[in-house]
Amino acid sequence: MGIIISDISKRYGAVVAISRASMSVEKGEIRAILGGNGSGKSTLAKIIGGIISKDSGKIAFNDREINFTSPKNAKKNRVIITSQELSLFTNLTVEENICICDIPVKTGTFINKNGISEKAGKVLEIMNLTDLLGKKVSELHPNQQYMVELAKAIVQNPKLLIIDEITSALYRQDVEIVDKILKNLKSQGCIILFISHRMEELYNICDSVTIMRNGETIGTYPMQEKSEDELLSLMVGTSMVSYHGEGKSHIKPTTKDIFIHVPKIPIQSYHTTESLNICKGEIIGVAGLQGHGQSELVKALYGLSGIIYMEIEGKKCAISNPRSAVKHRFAFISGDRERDGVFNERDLKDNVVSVLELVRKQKVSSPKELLDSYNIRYDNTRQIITELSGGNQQKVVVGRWLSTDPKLLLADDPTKGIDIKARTDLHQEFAKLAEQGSAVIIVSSDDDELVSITSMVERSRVIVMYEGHISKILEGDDITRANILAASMPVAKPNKIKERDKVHA
Amino acid sequence: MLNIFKKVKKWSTLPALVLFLLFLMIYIGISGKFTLSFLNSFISTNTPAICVAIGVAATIIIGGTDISLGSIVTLTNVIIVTLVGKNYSVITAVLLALLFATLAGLFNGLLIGVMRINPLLTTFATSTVFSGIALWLLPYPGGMIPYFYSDWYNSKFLNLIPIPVIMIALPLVIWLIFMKLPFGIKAYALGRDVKKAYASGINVTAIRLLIHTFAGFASGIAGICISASMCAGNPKVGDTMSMNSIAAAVIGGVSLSGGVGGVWGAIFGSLFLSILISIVVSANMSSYVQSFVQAIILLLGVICTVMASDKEIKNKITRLWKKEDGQNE
Repeated sequence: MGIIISDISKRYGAVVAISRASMSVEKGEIRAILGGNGSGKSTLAKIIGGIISKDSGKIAFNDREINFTSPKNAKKNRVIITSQELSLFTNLTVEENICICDIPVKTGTFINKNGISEKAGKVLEIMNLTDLLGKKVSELHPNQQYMVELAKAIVQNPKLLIIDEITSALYRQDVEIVDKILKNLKSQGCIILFISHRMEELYNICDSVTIMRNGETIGTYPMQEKSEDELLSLMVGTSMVSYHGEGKSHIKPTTKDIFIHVPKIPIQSYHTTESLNICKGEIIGVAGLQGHGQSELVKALYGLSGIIYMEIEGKKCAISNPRSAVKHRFAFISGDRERDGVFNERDLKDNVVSVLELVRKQKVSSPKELLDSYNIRYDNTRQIITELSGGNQQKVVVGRWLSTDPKLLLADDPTKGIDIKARTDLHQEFAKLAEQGSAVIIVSSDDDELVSITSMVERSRVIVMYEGHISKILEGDDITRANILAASMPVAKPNKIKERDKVHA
Repeated sequence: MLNIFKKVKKWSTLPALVLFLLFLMIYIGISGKFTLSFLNSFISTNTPAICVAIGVAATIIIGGTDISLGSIVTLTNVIIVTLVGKNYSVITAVLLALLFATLAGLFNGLLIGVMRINPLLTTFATSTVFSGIALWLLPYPGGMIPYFYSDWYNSKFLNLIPIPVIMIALPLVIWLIFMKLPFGIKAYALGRDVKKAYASGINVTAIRLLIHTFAGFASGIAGICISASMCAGNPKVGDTMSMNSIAAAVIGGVSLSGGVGGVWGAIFGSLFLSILISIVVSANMSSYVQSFVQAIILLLGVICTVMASDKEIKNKITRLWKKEDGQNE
């Protein structure tokens, strides 16, 4: 019983996506699939889920060879794949989305509206999300969307569930719910293939792990037997040490070198405003639970929620839209690559030089040099950007902005869904930028990420947001996961006024 | 109560309905006549446009489009005239023409759904094919249909409901039934994102096939109505209808990017268009200025409805104003 995958290969033209991948998973097992960008995890997942076809190899599910020709076909066999890019319809309601693969009907033909609400309600109740019923998906926060995505998968009663990076944008309290749901599915004998980059979750949720590298399956190990560093070495093929060093010495900022002073940052969903002082060479991490205004904070600074007034190096100015933000040498890197990052149908060169040439009107003499300097894996500069893996696409976007030599870099969960190697590369680029005297503000749903990136430079802070306010500012050795966690879930409401005075000081 | 208000405010048909009522008022103000017979003739002359608008709205909702519907209307008209000229009974001619129109839609559906050719290109090509066939059958306006056909069209079913209303109801009711089926939700899902629809196990080919066939059927009904009001054949009669119907759908809140809006909007959008034409005509302007003025008002109408339905665009425009304020400070 279970699923046995043997010798699967898939090529796109000359590029080998998967070569002779093999693994077997038992009934009731949660298997992590771990690998760097472009290692073939997603391709393998899509092949099993019937979204793309394989070139060769065999898949046997419950002792029967399967060869799904379409997702519909796979769903009939209760093989469900859920992934970030392939799921929700923003024009439909939450319950319609959850039920769309099997819409309840009455008298055999007509839509049963109550049936849809009931069916969706049952799943959402397990997730504590019943208040989402009746809303359109376009109104939801990204994190809530991921939960709805999972709900959509669960109502289909999967026997084999493939989760492709669904948790990379979930916040802590959601991860616990996901954990509970998956354990429940496991007890019913469901096989779960879990693709994620978050080590902590993998250790909590998964029983075993299969490592993929360059389209090959390197090996399968019981999850608890391998340390994080060992797994990393297996992924990259050479031994490397992760950099989770906490609390290097920090210098507290003095009032003198305030670089940007923003008196009023609107947080629209809470109707609150916050103020912020940004110093030169500083990395500010923004932490907090899901949707407490973190990304609205950075988007507002980029002029995305209307005109915003600030003092840059003592000079008053107003930023009314991203164009004027770019003029003041701001940069914005979003975790939502498809929406705010890459120009989909364009090649690498166009993507990397777009801001410099089109906004700054500077001619870029060698886009190739630019691409090479950010460790991007690519074939040639005339490649369409979507041919690259997600992490490499994000590196191109980062390269585009860093090449403009920004004074203030705003990053909204920039490492969402990219692997640890690429993530480390990006962090180092950000730290380099800060060392050159620019400021970096980075939002992340991963506290570990904030702890490590703030430890990479001398001057850094982590601000924790709660209900549209800055509830706590952590500096120096106070920046630890435990402290961030404590501040983002204040049991008794903290004295916000007092905390905010600290910001003004 | 507040909830109902909010729902009405969000209703995508609302801007088109308001525009239509507003211009109806203006028309009544200008011409000073508003009688039942005016209403009757207004509906019967606009029935063809409404039917085509319903058809085109359906194809736009599933993320495609169809610019061949006007040619299908022409084809229907020409087939009826030709068959009647060959001594077929009117009813046989009408039913055969409707069958051909539906088959023409099916043909579009096969190319778009099964062969996956871009809908705009496909229907651009087929529109030429259809009007080519029409010109081949009837190279110049002419032919005769017995007048009882026109009398029937202007009569009332059971002395109660005007026949044109029933003709509009045919495609409308079919569409409303679609919307009551799981098919309806899936069609809107498809309109939003093809890839996601496919990954969700939705039968993309079948939906496209069915919707384009439906659009062909709706245009066939339009052709039947237009033949009844002319009682003659004209190989150019549907030429302007394709684009006008798309404009009507957009005014009615149907988003060209797919998945948003409904056929009610398309109906009111097309009513607004024709009342607009009536106003411009009754203002006694020279015919050169007429279409210019008409187009300007149409453009304003499209901008209004898009602004009312698209929050993001609205925000952008309001932000532009705010920016000006900011610079003054």
